[in-house]
Amino acid sequence: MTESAIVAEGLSRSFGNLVAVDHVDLRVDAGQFFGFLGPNGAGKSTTIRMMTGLLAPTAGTINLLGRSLEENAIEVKRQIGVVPEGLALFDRLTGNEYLNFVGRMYGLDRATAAQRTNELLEFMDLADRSKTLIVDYSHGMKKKLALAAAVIHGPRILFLDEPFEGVDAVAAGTLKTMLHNMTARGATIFLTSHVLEIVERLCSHVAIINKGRIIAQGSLDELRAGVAAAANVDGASPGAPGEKLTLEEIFLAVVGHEGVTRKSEDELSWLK
Amino acid sequence: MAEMSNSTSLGRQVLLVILLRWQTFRNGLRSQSEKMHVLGSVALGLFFTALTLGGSFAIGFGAFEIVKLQRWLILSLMLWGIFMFWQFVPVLASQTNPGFDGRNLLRFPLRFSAFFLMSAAYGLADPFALAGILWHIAMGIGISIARPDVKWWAALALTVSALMNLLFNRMMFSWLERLLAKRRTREIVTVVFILFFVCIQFSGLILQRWGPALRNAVENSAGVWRALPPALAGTAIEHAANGDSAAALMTIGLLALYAFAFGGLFAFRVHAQFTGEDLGESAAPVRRKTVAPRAQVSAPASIAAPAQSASAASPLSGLISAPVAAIFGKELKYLYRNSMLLMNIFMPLILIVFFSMTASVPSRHGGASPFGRFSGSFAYPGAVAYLFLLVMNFCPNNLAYEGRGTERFFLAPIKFRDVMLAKNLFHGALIALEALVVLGVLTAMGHPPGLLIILTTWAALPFAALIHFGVGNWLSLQYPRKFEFGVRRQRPSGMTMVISFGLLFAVMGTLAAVGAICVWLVGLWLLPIVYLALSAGALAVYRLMLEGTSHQAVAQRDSLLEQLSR
Repeated sequence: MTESAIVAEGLSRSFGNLVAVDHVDLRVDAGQFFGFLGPNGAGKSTTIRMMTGLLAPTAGTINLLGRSLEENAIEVKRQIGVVPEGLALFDRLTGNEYLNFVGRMYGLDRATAAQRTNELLEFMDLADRSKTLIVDYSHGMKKKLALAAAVIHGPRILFLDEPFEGVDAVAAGTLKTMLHNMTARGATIFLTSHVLEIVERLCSHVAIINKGRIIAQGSLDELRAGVAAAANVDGASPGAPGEKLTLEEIFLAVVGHEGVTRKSEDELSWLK
Repeated sequence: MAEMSNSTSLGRQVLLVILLRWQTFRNGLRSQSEKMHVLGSVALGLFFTALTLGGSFAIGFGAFEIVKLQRWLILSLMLWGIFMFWQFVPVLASQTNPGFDGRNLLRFPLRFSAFFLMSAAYGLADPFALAGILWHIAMGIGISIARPDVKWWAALALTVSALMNLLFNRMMFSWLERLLAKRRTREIVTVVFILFFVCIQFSGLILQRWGPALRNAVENSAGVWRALPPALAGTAIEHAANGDSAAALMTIGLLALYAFAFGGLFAFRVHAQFTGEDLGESAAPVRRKTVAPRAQVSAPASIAAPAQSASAASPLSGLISAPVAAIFGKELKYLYRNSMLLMNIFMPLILIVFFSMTASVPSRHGGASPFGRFSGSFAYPGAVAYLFLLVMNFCPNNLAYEGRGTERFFLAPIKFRDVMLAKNLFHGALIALEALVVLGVLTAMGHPPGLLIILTTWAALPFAALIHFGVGNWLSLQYPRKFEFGVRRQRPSGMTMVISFGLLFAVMGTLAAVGAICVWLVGLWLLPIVYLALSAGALAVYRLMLEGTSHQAVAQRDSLLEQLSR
């Protein structure tokens, strides 16, 4: 049986009266490239923040690599890498200093941290800006640096919140290669993105969250089969006849079932 | 057909922005920390109001006496005093001055006149400006009671004077911001500020030594400084009191011209902002090296290697862990990139040069300088205490400059106590270094403090520092406030200011009271021992508080990240 890298059970988080995440159950096997999708405000970032120790759940448990995040926070954090929504950069360090700093925070010795820093800067095409303060980096460069910081300690699970947003096509291709290599070596990647084409190309398994609840979870083929079965019941096919459903079509079909509808062209008629 | 939105009147635009500010303030009160901040600010405001009202009575009464005695020169000097207070104290006490950053408003179809008005009106939200206005009013009341026949002249002259002060202040700050946007300039200007600050600290001593000479210089150059804007209202009132209405009117007109000119220079800066100028700090573009295109991109080979244990990687194995050492190193880098904090390191040298110069100049009345005797005994603890205050200023909000990096502390496999320990070690090292530099310079200048004084100072320092670190850590997590690099007008939470103020009094009061009792009952020799005992107690308290920071950080995580990472 495959080992589970990420297990969340009954995960909930409320902000006052608002339930942002509502009894989420997730299971991600080791070595999986897992896509976590949902419309804006569905609870994706809140879930990732809880899974990485940035936010306390109101209820539920999180186990990473077989250990409870709550009870073994330090040990678990040593095994995971994160590119959070806010990137968690120190603006007044240079790229080189920051990667060295993060490496040392994760317990790497000075020489290893320096060696990996150089390799990562070169790989991310940031070597010629390694002595520039991060505050002077472009958004895409910051994103690449945050990704480099997330992997410098060789994590077994990588959480990525919109990692390709603002990254140019060439760099995105490089990053995808790196992430694929990581999963090939046994690392687990948990990714959120609004770019469904990227998720479709990279991820073997997907979960869709809407209004704080998981509404679909499984491999892409399983989701296709589920949507097709639902369409047969309803009598309306979401995709073109005879063609394989795209992730976008699956997403719209699933989220649409949850009461999110496309607006009609007649609305906001005062707009030119 | 779709209707276009109507253009909004100036008054309505200003009203909308006021409403926006009010809504922002009201919504901010949803968080507990913001409520405490407001509470602290109210407490500080009451204290400041009491001081300002006291000053108003003194100024009003002073103006009354001056006009009665027809000492017009002093009236002008008084106006200069208010001007200096209004303009320069906010620059020095930069943490209490609100800033106006209207860039967020530029996306709306805002008129320039509304933008300018709001930029100017922001000057009124400064407590120092409010004090200045109140003192102008007090002065007007005093003059009117002394000479009812010039009350309208006084009202007009002082109103224009207040307006000139307000516009000069806004102009100065807007140009300062322009200047300070460049790192190099900011560093130079900071040096000037600090030197000025030091001069003000010792203005009492300067007056004591060179008072008569200064008085002569002021009287002899009255023709010059009375023609400058700060004194013109006084000159106009003098003309009016002497029955020369034409001269009074001309002087007020000249003052209004100055105000107009300052307003113009201010408008010039505001217009640059209005047209999209971004003073955000950015370095000159780095010339990219020509890099040969990579034929093949492969993932770094070493990434998959697991992280080693933290303790094994420490450069000071057994003393501090690798993460603590890393945070210490980061603090050091942030220090030399933060010119304000960096200048605090050089303060000892400036201070000692000043002390030594004053001590080496013989008294006007002959004999040894009283300051020379002073410097031999209490200069060292005095200078160390002064430096201590400056460094400790950064402790009660020690996450202020982390910004979004704060998340990194929660993501990394470390306890928050390590973050705070690293910061405390850094500030402690800074104080120790400064205390050593002061000692070295004093000794080199020929004013070495006695051994007992040195021992007493070094025994008291850990007590004061550890208590400040413990409470500072708690405050940093409880009432965090984000600071931006290079932005002067920032302030910690109101509650932080109130508690820090009280703590300072408590610690210094304890040291002074214990010291006085020891010296009175036994003798000075007992002080180092008693202070060491106090320091040992403070260490125990500090350790307890430090251990509590990890738990506190987790409990405060949401509000910390909301405050610092936004």
